[in-house]
Amino acid sequence: MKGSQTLAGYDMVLTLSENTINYQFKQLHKLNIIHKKWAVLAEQITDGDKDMFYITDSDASYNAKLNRWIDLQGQIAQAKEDNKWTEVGKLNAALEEEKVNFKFGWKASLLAPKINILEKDRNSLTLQIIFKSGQLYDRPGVLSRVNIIDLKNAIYAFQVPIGQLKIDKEAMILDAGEQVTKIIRESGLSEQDFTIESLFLNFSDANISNFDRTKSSFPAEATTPLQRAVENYFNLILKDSENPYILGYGLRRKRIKASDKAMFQPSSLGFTTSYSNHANKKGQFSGLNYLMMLNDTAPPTDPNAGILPQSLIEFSQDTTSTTDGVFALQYDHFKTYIASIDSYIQKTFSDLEGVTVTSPFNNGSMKAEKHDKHIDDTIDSVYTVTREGITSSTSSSITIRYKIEVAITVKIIAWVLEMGEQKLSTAGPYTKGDVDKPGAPGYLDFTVKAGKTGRFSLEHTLTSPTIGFDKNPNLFEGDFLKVFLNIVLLVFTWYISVIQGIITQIAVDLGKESVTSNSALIEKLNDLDVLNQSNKIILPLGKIYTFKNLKYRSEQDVVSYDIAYAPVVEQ
Amino acid sequence: MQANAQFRISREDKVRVDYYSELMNNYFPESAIAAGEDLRSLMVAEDQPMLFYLTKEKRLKALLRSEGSVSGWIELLFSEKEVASFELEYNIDENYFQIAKVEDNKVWISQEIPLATTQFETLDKSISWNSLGADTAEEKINRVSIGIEHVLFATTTPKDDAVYYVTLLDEMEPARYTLAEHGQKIVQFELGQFLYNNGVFLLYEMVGEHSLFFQSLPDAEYDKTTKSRFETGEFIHCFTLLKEQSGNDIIYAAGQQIHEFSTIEGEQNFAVTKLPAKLKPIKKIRAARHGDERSVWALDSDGLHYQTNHFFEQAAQRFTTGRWTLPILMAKDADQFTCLKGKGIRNQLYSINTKHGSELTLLWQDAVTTLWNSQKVSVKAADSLKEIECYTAHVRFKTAAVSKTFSGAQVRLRADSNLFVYVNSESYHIGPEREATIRLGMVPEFTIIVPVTDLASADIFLNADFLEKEEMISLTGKVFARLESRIDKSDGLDQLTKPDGSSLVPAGADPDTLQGAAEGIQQMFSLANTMQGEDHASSGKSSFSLQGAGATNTRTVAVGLRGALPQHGITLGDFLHAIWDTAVNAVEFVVEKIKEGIQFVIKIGEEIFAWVVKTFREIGSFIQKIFDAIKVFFKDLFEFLAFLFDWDSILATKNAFKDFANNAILSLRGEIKHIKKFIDDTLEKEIAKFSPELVEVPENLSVVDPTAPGENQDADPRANWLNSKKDIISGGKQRSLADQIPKDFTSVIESFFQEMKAILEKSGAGFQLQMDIIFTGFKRVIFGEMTFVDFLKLLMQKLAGLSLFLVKQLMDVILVSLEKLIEVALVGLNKEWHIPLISDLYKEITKGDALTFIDVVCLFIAIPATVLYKIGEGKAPFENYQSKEAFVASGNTIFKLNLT
Repeated sequence: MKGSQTLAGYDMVLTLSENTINYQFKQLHKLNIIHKKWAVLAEQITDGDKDMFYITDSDASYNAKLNRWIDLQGQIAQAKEDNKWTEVGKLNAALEEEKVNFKFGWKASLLAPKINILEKDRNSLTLQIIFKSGQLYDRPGVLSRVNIIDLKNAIYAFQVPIGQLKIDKEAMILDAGEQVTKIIRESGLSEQDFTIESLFLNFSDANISNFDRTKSSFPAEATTPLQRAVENYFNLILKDSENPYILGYGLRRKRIKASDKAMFQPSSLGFTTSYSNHANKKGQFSGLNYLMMLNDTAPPTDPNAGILPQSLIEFSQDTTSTTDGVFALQYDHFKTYIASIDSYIQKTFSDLEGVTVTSPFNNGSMKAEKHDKHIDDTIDSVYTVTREGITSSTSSSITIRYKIEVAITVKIIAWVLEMGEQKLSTAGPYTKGDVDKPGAPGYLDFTVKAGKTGRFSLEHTLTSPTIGFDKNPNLFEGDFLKVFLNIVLLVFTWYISVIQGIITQIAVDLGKESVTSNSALIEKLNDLDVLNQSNKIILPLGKIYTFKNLKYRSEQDVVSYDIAYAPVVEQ
Repeated sequence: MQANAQFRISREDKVRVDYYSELMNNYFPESAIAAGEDLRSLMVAEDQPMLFYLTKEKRLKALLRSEGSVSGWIELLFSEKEVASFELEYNIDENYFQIAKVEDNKVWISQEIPLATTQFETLDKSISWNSLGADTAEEKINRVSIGIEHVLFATTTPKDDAVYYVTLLDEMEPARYTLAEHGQKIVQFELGQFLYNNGVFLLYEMVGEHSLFFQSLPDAEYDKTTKSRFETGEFIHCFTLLKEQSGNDIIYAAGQQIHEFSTIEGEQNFAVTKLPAKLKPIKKIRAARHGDERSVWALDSDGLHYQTNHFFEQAAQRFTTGRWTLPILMAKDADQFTCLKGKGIRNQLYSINTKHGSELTLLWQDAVTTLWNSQKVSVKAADSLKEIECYTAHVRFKTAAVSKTFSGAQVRLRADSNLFVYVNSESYHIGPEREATIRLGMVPEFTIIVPVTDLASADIFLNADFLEKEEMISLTGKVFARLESRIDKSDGLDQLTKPDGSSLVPAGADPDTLQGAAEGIQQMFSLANTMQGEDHASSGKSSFSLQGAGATNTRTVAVGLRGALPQHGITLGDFLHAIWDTAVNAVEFVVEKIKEGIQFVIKIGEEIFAWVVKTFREIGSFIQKIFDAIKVFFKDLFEFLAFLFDWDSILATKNAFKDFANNAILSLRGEIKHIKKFIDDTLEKEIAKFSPELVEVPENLSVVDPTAPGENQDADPRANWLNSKKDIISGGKQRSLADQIPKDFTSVIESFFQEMKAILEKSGAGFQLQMDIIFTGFKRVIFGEMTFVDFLKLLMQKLAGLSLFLVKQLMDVILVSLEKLIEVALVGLNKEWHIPLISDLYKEITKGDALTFIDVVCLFIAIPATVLYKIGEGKAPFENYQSKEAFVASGNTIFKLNLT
């Protein structure tokens, strides 16, 4: 499967579990950040009615007015039934005079709201407003009695069409203050967009009257009044407040300090849901998808874009209460990161004195050469570095492996005459003297783990290459000795020792004590900026989420992480 | 044993208090504790701390403050094997605590230990433990933390992330929790509350960094948790929590600075405050709260720093909690610490310092004066000796009512500021609201020892039912008077010399500064004098400056100031403890008597600091500080002012006694036959023609015993020095003194006492008095004031009241015992004898000699003899070689009867 299929056309997707969202709503409720009580007495709202009158329970006479209203309406209804119209007129005047001419009223306690991810619909979810106790007061007509609808355990559920929510950088900038604008421009979306508060606020676009009878639970006769009163209530509260009120809950967005731009910085945001029955654990694997594009690429417009074939939460490795979802990135994009490691390797070679990169990384391979001269003798070395691909080495990290091959040609010149040529390489099978091991390629392994706040921690191990003689030097020795005998014996000894010296030098350069990080080359690696990517932000949203258990999923062609919702607290 | 009421001393008996206080060295059989790491503490009762720590061998030990015990501390052991981590949790509501430890790769949790009913002295025996383990054997448990309801432990597994376990203490079924990030090792964690959720604050290692994180316990409905990361912009080394009224915890994260995270009520936002000043990397941090008052202690490589939001407003002379003070260095070079808040003791701080051999130090701030005091915490160790500089006061009660007894009467001690004292070798904490009760014995006297690290000390007040009014013991009075008069008599501080002839003030001191210091000290003294009088009226203000060149010189004011100054918001005690040394060269002082006490004003540049002090203790501290400023430290002042035991003279005296005694024994051995014959003859003669009047006795002898502790002799801790040790020497709860006498003696003495007892039973009352006189007579023989013949005559005269038959029997017993004793004496007397404290002291002063029986006896006589002789005569006895030789030689003839 292509990564674009796994992520349904998006570059990156973050899926937050249904349970997490509901738990977080419960927290907002617990902290009184979203209201636990609805208490209002109000006139009917009509569009554009700006001066509509209402009172809340912050008014000391709230209860008295409620009772008076019920009482007067009762008297009005009675008078009407009795055809005492003068009386009706008087009582109506009293309603006006006493400022108790209400259309509806709430006096209710609420539990935390809750979302339901729907099995069939990927573009909307159900939001439930759950009443713990209380009453709705409804006056169907001017001359009718006040209907008192008991709200104990009532649920008012309606659909939130999250598929319509779209957030992009330009919209953000329009929305933002001057100081934030620059940050957004540079960094893409603001991290605040990924907080629970923002998610909740995004539900403001929901058509609240579009309630879902099947998920709701209240007396049948209350349908119309409840629907009307809920709608009116929201409009009422929304209109009167400078706070961004949503669904009757006053809410401010969490203040998150802008962080540095990530390597994978989203530039647009959309939403879908994923329903999952994985492992028969209801809800645990269902989630809300944050669909993201990179580099100002326009989001896909295909009607099925964002409809993931499988809930990403099914990818999670840690399924305990610690984690809250999964973040996945198309492998194609992750290659950007791998390319940065490639270029680091390349730079490491080009930074070495006397080394020339003759063929930069292409299709995962590069070549470098080094030409040395020892008095009159010449040593030509060719290094070939090949990326062998990435593997998920443990449950928590991936490893990127580079193979290092070396081929060396040594020419010995004496008295302007070429005495002979000897080739050594990582493929050379023969040993002699200090060259006591057959040739073998070296490996540089980078283990990538998720670090703090979207950074990566990078650990490396180097297995040094070993170099052997390509031709059997003992055979050579025999022939040579026969021909040049005594004098040349001396020369030959010198010649071999030169080769040994050169080899030793190479070994030192490449880190003879393989796997140690303090060898000269590795020290150089550590000093280089590219490796300091471990201090650079790779993944976005590091101030809202933690990342762990990086995994390369070759089948799905994505890299995925377990995430936890953990907003940063800082000055 | 309570005497009958009619014999008990009462208020009508006009009891007088006689005391003498001296600054001198004293010795205690204590050793400072060699504590390893991880120190934690708890108040098990008001101002009674219990300290838990890991020894260097990683054993869990505790020290319990124990009033009235020898060192004031007792030691308890709580582990058999190495302990990797431990913690205490105190339940405020139900007043108990629990201990959790990691031992043998298991977590052990103690039972609930109620503070009200536990015998803490035996807690090591009565404690019981329950254990818990991790899920797999590969996991290594490295930390434990305990809360009121939960216990928490962390494990590491090679090449894997760390995990932690939480269980309810009631259930003991640990649930395993993963970290949200790749943390290899949890370096610190605490159970706590964040945003009204219970959970765990974690500090763990990631590659190259630390992460400070909160994770709540999972929600039952959704199985999800609240998580948050705390970022400070620097590497966090440690953190601590402080519970707010709401139940949420304030988090103090420490890197090189301290960051305070506190929840804002009703919001999801937080107040994040960076406390002022940057330290070295902080190794450990603790916080304490009292109402809105918060204090933070932070340990770095320089030592222990203290910051508080209990900010002292100089202008108003009161505290506010609006802002944080700059950190002040409270304990230099400390490696570990724990802090407690007490009642009389505002802040208590225990620190371990390994720079000079791992000693546990108690640093405490007195609530009255705000002054900081320090002392080494030690436990009783009979085999080691600690020399301590202290004020030693000998207190004696006198009355004309001879028939009344003080035995069983109680004396209550308090002090005008908090103080740790030893009374009769037992340690007590006394203060304005804290009394120690001392029970008097037959002899109505006791010794108070107050270890000090500067010249100043609180005054002690005595109350007793038999006293007409409260009596004040001024510990420092004589010493300050001595200091004042020496300064007055000298031509400047630089003219003062120590007993060894060296100058008190180091060479090269600036004359102007010395002049300023002298003025300052004199002003302090004159103020102190007004303070101790009844006069509370204001008097004129006076000022001085240690720059010397006049009080108003502000020209060089900035010199010597370090970056952190000026310091606001701290108390006088804090100032003197931590700021003084850096500020002293640039300050000007104004002292003024006002109605409430004495106002100290210290001007540093344009800044003015003012405190009102009310006790002499504070003035004393200030005088010490002025001396510090001219590089005359307490050590110097001690040498200058203290009474120093002249051990060389004491040893010389002792040796003279010893040589004399050895000679005497030899003499006695040769003479005993003659003595026996003399007694036999005399007695037979007497029996034949007994008439007591015929025996000639020096008249004065029968009336007065000049060497007995008399009513007329003044209290003096110097002569009574050994007396103050008698509880220690007698071995306390350990072995009795008799057990420690060489066995050769004990058998002789035992049989002697057996036989004596039989005789004494027949002789009846009144014998005791006679025996005292005989004993005195014997002492006079030893001192060469009486001949042995005269002594024998005295003996027989005194015994004359007894039946002569009994006398004969008695003398037989004495002589037989004496013969036996002499047989063993020459060997036995010179055998080593171990007496707590004295043996060690003896080793110390003789540079390693073993203490023998005869040394002990002679030393007991030599110390008071030498001290009193020297005080009286101005020189030691036997300073003249001839007199010593003559005295020693007299031993050869002392028992000669001169019968020829």
